[in-house]
Amino acid sequence: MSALSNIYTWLSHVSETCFTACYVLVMVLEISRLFFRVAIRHALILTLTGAGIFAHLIWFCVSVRPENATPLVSWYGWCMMIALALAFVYLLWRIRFPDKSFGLFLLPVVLGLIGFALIFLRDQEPFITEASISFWTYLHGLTLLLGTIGAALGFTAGIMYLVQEFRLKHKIPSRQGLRLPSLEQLQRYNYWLLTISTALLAVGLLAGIIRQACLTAAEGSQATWEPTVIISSAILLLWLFITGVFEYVYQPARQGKKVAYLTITSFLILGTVITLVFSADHGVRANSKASAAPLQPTALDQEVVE
Amino acid sequence: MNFQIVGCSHHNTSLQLREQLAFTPDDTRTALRRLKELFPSSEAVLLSTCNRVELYTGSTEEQAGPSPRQVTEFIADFHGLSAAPLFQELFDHSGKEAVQHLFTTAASLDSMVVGEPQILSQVKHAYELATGDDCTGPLTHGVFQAAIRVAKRVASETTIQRRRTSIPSVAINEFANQFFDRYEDKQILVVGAGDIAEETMRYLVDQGAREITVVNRDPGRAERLAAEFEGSATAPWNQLLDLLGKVDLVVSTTGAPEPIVTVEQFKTIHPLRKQRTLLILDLAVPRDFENSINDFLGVYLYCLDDLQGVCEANMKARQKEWPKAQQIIVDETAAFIAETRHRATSPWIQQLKHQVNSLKEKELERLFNKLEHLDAESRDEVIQAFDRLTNKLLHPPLESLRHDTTQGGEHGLLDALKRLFQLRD
Repeated sequence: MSALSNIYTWLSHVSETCFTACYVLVMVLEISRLFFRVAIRHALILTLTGAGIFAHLIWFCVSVRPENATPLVSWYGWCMMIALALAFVYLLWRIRFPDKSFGLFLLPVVLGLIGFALIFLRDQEPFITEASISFWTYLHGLTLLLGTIGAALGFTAGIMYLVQEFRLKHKIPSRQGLRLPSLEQLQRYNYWLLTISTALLAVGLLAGIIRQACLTAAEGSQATWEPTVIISSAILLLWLFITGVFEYVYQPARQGKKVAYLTITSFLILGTVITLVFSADHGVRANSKASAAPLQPTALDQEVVE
Repeated sequence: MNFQIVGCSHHNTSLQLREQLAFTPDDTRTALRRLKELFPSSEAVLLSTCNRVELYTGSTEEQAGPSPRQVTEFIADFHGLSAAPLFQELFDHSGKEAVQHLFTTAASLDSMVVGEPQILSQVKHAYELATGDDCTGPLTHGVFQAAIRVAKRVASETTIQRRRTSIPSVAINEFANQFFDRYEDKQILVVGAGDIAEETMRYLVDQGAREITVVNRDPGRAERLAAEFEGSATAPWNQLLDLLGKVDLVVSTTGAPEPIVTVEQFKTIHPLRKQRTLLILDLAVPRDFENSINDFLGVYLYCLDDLQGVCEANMKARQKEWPKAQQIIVDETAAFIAETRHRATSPWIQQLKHQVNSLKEKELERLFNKLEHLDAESRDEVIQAFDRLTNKLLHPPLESLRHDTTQGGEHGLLDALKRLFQLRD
């Protein structure tokens, strides 16, 4: 067991710097594709991405608090989870389409999320533990997480579509190292990511409303309905409803640049709403002194390992 | 190895004569069966495309296959032509040159459009057809499978096939593929029925296109073109604008002196499209579509000038890759010939070793009968000494034989070996 605890101790040194550095190096390699060809670059990108994802996963596993069953203990962890999911999608796309330049568009989103989390969310309080075990809270958190991942991917696909469409419309030759998927492929990604993320976000918001209603029923006037959260959630729900109706009624909304505009706008609205929700400390512990950042292994961790 | 090719190609034979010598799939089967009846021990594969007719024959037995003269006479007789003029028109290669020619052809280095990928599937098809009719054998299996492997190696280690140089090829493979992922579900309109239209349709069908409508002022030409491609249809010229409202891809190749579709005409059908993507490849000179049509939402109009630059750049890049591709062919040919010769000498080497071992066993038996007092350890020593002796005696001649085989057997060491040691078939 001492070997295991040694491994655990060693793994606990895996910090945000490890996986962030890997992603940054991969970004640099992706940019280098625009300028010169190197035979070993593809293998290097896959290796570094894999290493980054592995470090990211280890960091999640080690940073799990013993009293919680989920790594989503805080907004900080939530944001890091989205970044991990996007990095994984990037790896899959890179393997499936090695000559396409997904990384130039997706990796900035990954690094942006990690940067945002590190700068603004690291010291946020964790989520309320008691509420975390309810079904509606799980549903609310999980569907919002998946919906946000979908919206982030849709945003990336939307940007790629607009770039490709502009290049083709103005007959700009494709640059070495910047090969994008076909317009049809990007349009398909956009459409499905918009549809799926819209559905997931809608379910997530409704689950949040039901959860809050349950809390009110249980706790009476002690349950708080935060005005910022209510208003921003209502705006998001309204936007999702309008998007759905617009797509259903207006056929051109399902193709071409319009889909790209819709996915990009959806992501920006979602980002704004989430930022407002962060600022309202939605779901966090009111008086806890515990930090949202991952802890060093404690005596309890040691006991669990042994 | 008795492998040869007799044939003609666009390099040295006119289109008219190639058309006379061409074989349809049914003709190919009939010809191969007839050849098999005339030369039962011979193997054969017949490759007939729009740019070449080549009959590959071979046999593992010496003198069992037809000579180049006999093959020429066979081809002439099959098509009801006189053989005498064909002796000047057809080329022939044998042995290593024949193998190298097949490798070069399969790798598309001998094609009219160098790097075009269709030839490899045509070579595969010819080989499979001959195999299906039981006309191939160990030699043709070896050569054609090696040719397919070599072609794939050239494709993967050079960029020669990725550099398209013909306008229709660039239009579809480098431009249309940036818009569309697949063509099975696309409606395609081809305006015009000339050579460019035909070549473009070939590339589209290769990509999986199934719904192609051909429109031409001369309906007869449109019908003849559509008949060449399964799933294609024709439409009257006056339905051109209606079709523009429905299709996803337009390839225009008419010889009209003025645009056949103006901006004003396009305005009437644009709302019907509901902003769906429309790619127009205007390959005509002068243009068939007014340039301002590109400004419509969802419409992308490319003309010849847009494609020409890419063709020229690809041509230069391909020329740079040529020496590398040639070297691969040369190296693979040499390796194949050495491997084939090595396999040819193996049975003789085995026979020689068997003969020597047999002699050794007899002498050992005679010796041990006379030296019955020898203990087991001494017997083992004697056996090992005999083994070492025979191995050391055989090693220099067999090594020389292997080396001679690699060099092409020019010193005739295999024949000498057979005669010196009286090896029999």
